[in-house]
Amino acid sequence: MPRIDRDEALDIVRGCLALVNELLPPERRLSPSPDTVVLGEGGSLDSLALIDLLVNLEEKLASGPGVRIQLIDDSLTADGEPPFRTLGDLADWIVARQPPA
Amino acid sequence: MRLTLVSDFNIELLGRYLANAPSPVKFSVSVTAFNQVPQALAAPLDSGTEEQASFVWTRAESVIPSFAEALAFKPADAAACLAETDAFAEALLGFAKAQRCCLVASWVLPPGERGYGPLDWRLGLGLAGLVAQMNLRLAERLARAGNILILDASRWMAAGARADAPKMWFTTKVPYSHAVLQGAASDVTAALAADAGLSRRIIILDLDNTLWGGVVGETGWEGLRLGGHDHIGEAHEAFQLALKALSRRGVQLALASKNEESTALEALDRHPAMALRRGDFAGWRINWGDKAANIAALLDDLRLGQDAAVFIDDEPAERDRVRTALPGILVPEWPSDPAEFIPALRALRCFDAASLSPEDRERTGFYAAERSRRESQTSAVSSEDWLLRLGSQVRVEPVAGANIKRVAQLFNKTNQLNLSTRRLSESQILDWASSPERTLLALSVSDRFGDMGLTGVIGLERSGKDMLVTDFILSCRIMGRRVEQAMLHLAVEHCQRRGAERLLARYLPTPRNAPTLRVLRESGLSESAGGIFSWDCGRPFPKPEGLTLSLAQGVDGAPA
Repeated sequence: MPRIDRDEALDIVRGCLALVNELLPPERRLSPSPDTVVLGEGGSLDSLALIDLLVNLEEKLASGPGVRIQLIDDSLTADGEPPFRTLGDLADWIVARQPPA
Repeated sequence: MRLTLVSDFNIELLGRYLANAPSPVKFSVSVTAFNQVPQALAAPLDSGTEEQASFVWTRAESVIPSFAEALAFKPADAAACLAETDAFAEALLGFAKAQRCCLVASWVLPPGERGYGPLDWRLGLGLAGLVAQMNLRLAERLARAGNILILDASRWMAAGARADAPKMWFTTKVPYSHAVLQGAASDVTAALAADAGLSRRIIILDLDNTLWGGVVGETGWEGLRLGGHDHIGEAHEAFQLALKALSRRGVQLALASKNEESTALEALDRHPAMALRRGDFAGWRINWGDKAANIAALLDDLRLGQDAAVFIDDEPAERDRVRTALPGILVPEWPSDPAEFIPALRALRCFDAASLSPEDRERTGFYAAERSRRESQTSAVSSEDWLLRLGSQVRVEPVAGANIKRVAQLFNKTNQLNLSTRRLSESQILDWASSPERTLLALSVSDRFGDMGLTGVIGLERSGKDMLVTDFILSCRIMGRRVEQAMLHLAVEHCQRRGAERLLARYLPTPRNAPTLRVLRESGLSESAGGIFSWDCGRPFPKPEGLTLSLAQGVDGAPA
């Protein structure tokens, strides 16, 4: 089973962010910085945009490096701390959700 | 204008695409709650003071219950499907009544649905046949409302690698991929522009390597690649036929080309495979002037604004010039392979019209008559900034073994900008250049759009106190970019280094080299009888501003 590291995951996240930004007015487009907050307090994406981002990420991870993981699960809507807040956290979360080699 | 989206599925993402899409029509977007189509169609849109438009995109299985049964492979009841289609059409007619424009998506089968396979077009059984019948009925019923336009959703389904989006469907009730949504957004904005009368109405075309393959000034019309048993020629002929077809639905054609007018018109009149003849064009500007100024004048003649026009040219630099000088004109990026011309033309949605009148079909004749009445009028648009922005670089090197093949090509194939039109073989050229009294330089030109390669040659020969220009050759692709002036600057500098007092050039006319005479006359050189042009080398000949010259080793004045 192929695996990717954080830098590779962040590159794919940034690629998918471009599609998210096409749906936002210019003044609300998101920076590709790892510190950009996307989920939780101060997050810039609503639930539809977030799901759209994660579905695209699943597709790109599978069609690119061949990493097949599910990113949409109950942890996104559970009470308490969201599983990630920033784009950098999202890359970490993707890396951590890969099955062991 | 306010655009309301009505759908049986979550159409919010389409709303976001539309809200951020470039469009000549300004509108805001509102989205009704999904899966409440009957309720939405029954409630008139809040009129207020704003103009109202809507886009209704439904899946047949959601709004035509009998079709949902058929889709579940229960026996198809076509009569029931059509009766329900009639009821849906009535609801749409009522909904659209107070609107400026109501757009309705045609129905399609769910992406990937194979229905009954090879039986699917069997009427009374298949789903493909049934959905086609329902679409036809819908079109018949809606035809009585002039403000309802049906958009073909099947095109959007074919836009990307995959039309469906199953995970998005199960998580958010968005059934279609981004490619489908983008296709729909583009068609909706194009339809709104068409409804507002903002369709583009004229295509202005370049000639060489756009309308036909090759350079007519170099080869004459007999040497063009057009039609025949040649894939390049066939692609250009097919492109002409596609343009001619477009002209029959009200899109006019015109020409803007850097060429000798008589040569280009002769090609239009005489080439046997020319699908577009002189009478197919509403107007033209064929000369060596700035293309943007020519297009401005052409549009003025035709009484059209920039926002009516599309400009198609294979040359990136010309596209940039027109885009910069005339920002209202749509200048699409254009493929270099003529096999891709028709797909590129078909991808343009800007010709979509909300109606088609007999006058539209006759518009070419109208412009032809108008052309014969009106005098030409040129609006001056400065090309100085464009030339500066090009950032042209000219590399100069001696003619030698490494470049002789290309130099010989230029000697033997260049017609238009060629002072003496000497036809010499490779060895004759090298022999001639071997004398210490002679200098033969090759020029390679590049700019910010790319490298055009070795495209110029200048030959000089000492004769007493004078320096004779024996050869002055430049590819027509480069003409008009002030490389001609750079060549004269080089020649005068060479004279000064060698102690010559005068530069002399003798123009030898041929049927095709009139542009050379024009360049010499506009250069500032003194003209005397017999086509002799001269420059007093006590004065420098100015180098064109913004153009960089670099001299390779072996050229007089090159850095050590």
